[in-house]
Amino acid sequence: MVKRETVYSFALLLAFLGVGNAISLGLDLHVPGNVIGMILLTVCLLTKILDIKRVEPAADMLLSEIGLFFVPPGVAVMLYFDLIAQQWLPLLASILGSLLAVLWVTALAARFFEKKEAKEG
Amino acid sequence: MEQWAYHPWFGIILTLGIWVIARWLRHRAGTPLLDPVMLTVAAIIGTLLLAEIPFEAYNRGGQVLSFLLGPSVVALAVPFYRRLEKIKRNLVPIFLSVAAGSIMGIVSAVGLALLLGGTPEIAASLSPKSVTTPIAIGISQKVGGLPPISAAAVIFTGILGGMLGPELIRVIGIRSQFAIGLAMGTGAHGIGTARALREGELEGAMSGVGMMLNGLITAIILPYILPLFL
Repeated sequence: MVKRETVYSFALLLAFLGVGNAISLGLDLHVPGNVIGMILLTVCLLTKILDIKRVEPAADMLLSEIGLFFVPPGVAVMLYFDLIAQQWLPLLASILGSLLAVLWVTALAARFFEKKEAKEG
Repeated sequence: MEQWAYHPWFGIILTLGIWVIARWLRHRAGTPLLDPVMLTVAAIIGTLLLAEIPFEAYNRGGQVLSFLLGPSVVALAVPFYRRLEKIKRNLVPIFLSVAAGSIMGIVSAVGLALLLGGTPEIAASLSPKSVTTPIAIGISQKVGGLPPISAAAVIFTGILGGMLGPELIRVIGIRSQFAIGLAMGTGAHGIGTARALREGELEGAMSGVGMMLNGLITAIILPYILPLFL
């Protein structure tokens, strides 16, 4: 049986999603509505407007299976096999090169701040 | 085509069934690199192609499941909040390091794709490729990419990063657990974080922070950076 708290917390998540989508569409933002909903919920949690216990039940349930929900968009890749075959070089180079760039830049920046703090501290 | 394949339950049951098997396989194999999403996607595509069932039929049920992606992204606020509470003191250096990685990720992915003859659509699809899949799909839709291509690029990035990430970072002489963890989450999202957790507790925690912050920063800045290229 699904607990009442889980239903309430799911309804809260949907409400934040709805507000996020409304803001994204209404202000013609390019930030996805679900991300805006996430930001709003984070702010509500940080400012203690909302207790984390109110959203935890459904949030933990959804997040434990979040991979399942992006299987269908993943399967849709079968519609683009021809495109991938045509564009394999930019796809592959971009994925490999960009992975390396992100790993190195982030790690170098993090070490820079770490050393700076050690000096000052 | 058989009518039954067009019933929503077909897509739902097929996905749930294969998902349960894929999760069990990954549990048995005990490696984060056997990504259950990749396994499930590959098995479903194989099934549909063999049985000659069109994607549209599968997606009647598929879209019921992917509807839950929206509230799930909102729910990411919960782990994000839990981690923010722990990293309050170091928030500024962490934020700046991840922001550097976010910008680098967008610029390098889009730049390399266009340089090597990628179409604008492909470049847009690749632009959110360092970000966790559920967020990347939303971004891709908004910036004129193809969400399925983005999802595939994201998962591929995660698997590569999970396989080689810590080694690639140590190549340039960085040993700091803090730096390695943050870079793994920023560069290779959830799959990278699973690997980082095996490197150590600090690496895992920092990787989770990097993943969340990168998703957030990229979602906000990407729509403003991408038009500079296209």
